[in-house]
Amino acid sequence: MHSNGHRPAPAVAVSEFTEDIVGRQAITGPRYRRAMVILGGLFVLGVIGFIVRAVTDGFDDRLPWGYLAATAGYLLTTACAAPLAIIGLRAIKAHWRRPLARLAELYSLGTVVVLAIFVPLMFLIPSAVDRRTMYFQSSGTSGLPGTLGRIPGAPQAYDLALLIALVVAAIGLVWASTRPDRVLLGNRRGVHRGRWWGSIKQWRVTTVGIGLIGAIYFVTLIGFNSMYSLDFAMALVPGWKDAIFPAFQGITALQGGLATVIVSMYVLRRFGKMERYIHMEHFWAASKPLLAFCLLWFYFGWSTFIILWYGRMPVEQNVMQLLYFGPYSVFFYGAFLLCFVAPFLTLLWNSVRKSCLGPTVAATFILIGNLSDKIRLYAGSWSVPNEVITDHALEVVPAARYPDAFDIMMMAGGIAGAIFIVLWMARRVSIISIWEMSEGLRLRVVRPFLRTHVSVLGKPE
Amino acid sequence: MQQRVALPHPQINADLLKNVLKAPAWYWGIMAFLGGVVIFGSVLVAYLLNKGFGLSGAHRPVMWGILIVDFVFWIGISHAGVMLSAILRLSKAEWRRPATRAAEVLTVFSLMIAALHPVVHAGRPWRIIYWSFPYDFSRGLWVNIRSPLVWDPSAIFTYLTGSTLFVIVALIPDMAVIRDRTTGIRHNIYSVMAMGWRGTPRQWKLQVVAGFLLSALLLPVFVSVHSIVSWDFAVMIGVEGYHVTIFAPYFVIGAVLSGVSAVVTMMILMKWMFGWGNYIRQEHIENLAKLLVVIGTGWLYFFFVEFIFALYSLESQEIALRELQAFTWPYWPLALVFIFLSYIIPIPMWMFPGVRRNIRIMFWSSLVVNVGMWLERFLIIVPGLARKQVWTFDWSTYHPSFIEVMIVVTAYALVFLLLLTFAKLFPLIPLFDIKEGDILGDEIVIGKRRVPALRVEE
Repeated sequence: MHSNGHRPAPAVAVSEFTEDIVGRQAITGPRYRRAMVILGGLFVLGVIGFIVRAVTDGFDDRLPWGYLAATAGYLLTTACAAPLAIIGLRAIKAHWRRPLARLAELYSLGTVVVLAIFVPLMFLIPSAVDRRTMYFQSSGTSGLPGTLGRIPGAPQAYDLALLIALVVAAIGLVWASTRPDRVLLGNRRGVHRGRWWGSIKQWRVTTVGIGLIGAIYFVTLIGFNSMYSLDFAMALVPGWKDAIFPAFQGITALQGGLATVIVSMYVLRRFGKMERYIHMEHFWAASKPLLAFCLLWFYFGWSTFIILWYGRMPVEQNVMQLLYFGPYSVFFYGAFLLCFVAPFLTLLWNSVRKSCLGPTVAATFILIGNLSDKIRLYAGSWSVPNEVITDHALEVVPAARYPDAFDIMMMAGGIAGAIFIVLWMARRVSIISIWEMSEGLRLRVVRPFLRTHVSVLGKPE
Repeated sequence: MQQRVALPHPQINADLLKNVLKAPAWYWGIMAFLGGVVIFGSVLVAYLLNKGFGLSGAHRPVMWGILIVDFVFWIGISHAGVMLSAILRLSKAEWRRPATRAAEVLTVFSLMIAALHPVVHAGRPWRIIYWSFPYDFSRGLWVNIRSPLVWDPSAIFTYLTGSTLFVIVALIPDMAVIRDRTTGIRHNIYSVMAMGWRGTPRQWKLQVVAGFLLSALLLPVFVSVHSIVSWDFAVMIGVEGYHVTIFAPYFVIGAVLSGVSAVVTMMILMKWMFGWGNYIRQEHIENLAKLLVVIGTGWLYFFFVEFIFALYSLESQEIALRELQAFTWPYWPLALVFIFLSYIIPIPMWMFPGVRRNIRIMFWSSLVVNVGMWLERFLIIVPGLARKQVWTFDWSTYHPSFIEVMIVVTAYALVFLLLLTFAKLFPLIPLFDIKEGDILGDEIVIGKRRVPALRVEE
């Protein structure tokens, strides 16, 4: 206990904390305005890129839209996945989640951007009839065994329904978790909203509700990630049968989500002047699961690789070329280096983990590597022509298509859009959850213990 | 709920060393019974080896029967130790304390027993030596390192070595306590095993660092062991249903479900047998049940994906295998029992606090999970081999012989025998861990309520 000899940070009074955060809400700083202008500009550029792409290439060919599909995949495994870390930490009652909870939950609204991207994309993939999907349906003429009858709208309608459910869960999560703070901020502005007065019953309903909606969001996000990776990547490549792939996307979501939280936490601390509430301990604590997720990224990736590589099955050889060593190899090596090697070697050292900058650098590697991974998977699979997707095997590995200016505009616009929403919401509700932090401050005291002082954290049932 | 009671340290010593210093009469009765079963099983193994493996139920094309199923099962159980001890230690979960030693010891013994199964299954065990280890360098005879049959022993023995070290490091302070309470030859033996432990700050620091380091080092080994076992099957392209990329994590999470359930069963048995109600409380079982809900649901996701992806390919052979597993006699009743016992019955039950706090229900429900998980391994291994294929000219289903069944029973008896032997020699609940938990426990007052609290490093 306190082998380093330092005394724990003194407890901050709840009233002092509340006044500080409420006071910050009243002011809009120049940095905030500048960030909003830049992000808004990038988002508009993304929309322009989309319109130009639609006008010049249309929606007949899937190939030009591969990078937009990768953007949706990227947002699903970074911004939209940021709340997963907090939902998990809340379930195990980890105290260090408190300053990060609101920030992470606001990222769930990135699902709105994914929905906006998804709608045009879904017209670009063929229906599930007579090809390998989870819907097992045939027209009855293809001779495919074990198929069900026609399922109207598959797979697009069901994926869309799941995504809408995800957006609803995201809005519900943000609504429920910000309610006490919205009422508090409203009261301070003299605007009395809703019927919240903080009774014991209301608190109980709120905390149980946040837990439930959080669980629904968690399951729906993992479910949608699975379906998106299957219907919008794997099912488009003949011969690609990889049962671990949906789960791998789940792991990249957990890794990318936590990386998003860490980078945002650093920005908030550094540029949002939150040093008093976001300490090195938060980075230290977050870096440990991040290290574990890096190892899991490798483990899941390796589990696929060794089976395909060892099996040497002819049907899987061109799939390996497409995904690993062929036209998109640069993106594979990029992903491997930045999602595993670099962050693993960085986070391996406790002195690096025990700093604000170390975990942030590792998280930045991961966010870049995740993008590279999504380009490999989605741009790669979207480069396979429509005519061959019902074939038994991929006979010809398509050439790589590198991003052009409009692809880059769309990708930047999509990512900027998600961050724009978070910053916009941060003005409406505080970026640090007032009620959750206050609860944490009440549950922590500093007490003398033997010849030192230690933190004592309450763990209510 | 049964609350934590801060007990004086002498009483903790007396309670937890009760069986070590003087075992009750029933203990010897159980030991004699288990010893009898093990002797009978050993005779049968000797008979099998003498007469040949034809006495087993394994015939073409099903050459892997319940001995291999049991091998995978015990490897799975061995995942309890690191899951509970290493992961919960690294994440500083307080409620791990009474469970760690039992889980670690279960890991060691189940690994040892698991490793025996392929040896018996080989029929001529001495051949294992030159299949797995290079034996004649001069003539250039090397084992095939690309074979999973070589990966297996490497992974298992690495894990066994690491887990044993893990147990020993955690035992040192407790050895010193026993050393100070024994006389004569026992005192001398425990003195050697305590390695000069005096409880100085430096010794404690080294012990804690060693524990953390071993936890971190064992984690990748823990994952690799069952992954490699899964690759025994998955790298095989000739058997339908085996060549699946998800096998490694699917096996690992299944193993964790199985192992943690076994720890729950074992903890409740310890509570009943040794009267450790003050140490193994409802809150521990409840927390383990919550953990099992999460693990079980994760396992269900992998199970679902694995099953559905076999159909995804729309290949007639894969679909036929799933039909065999799920709808064909004699496998369909087993499949039904498996899914009900592994998930449908226990996991929804454990969502209710009343069930999680009921020790009897927890005992039986954790036990049935392992019955289900054993059947899961059976349904993965046997039907894939039993299905008629183009190049299989001799096929039939598989019926385990009496000898095989008895070997499986003996394996259970041997694990329990070893656990009880350990319980006679060392405390099954770590004394120092319980005392540390007591010291770190505290209370804070919020309004009119007293909230349990914990002293932590920040």
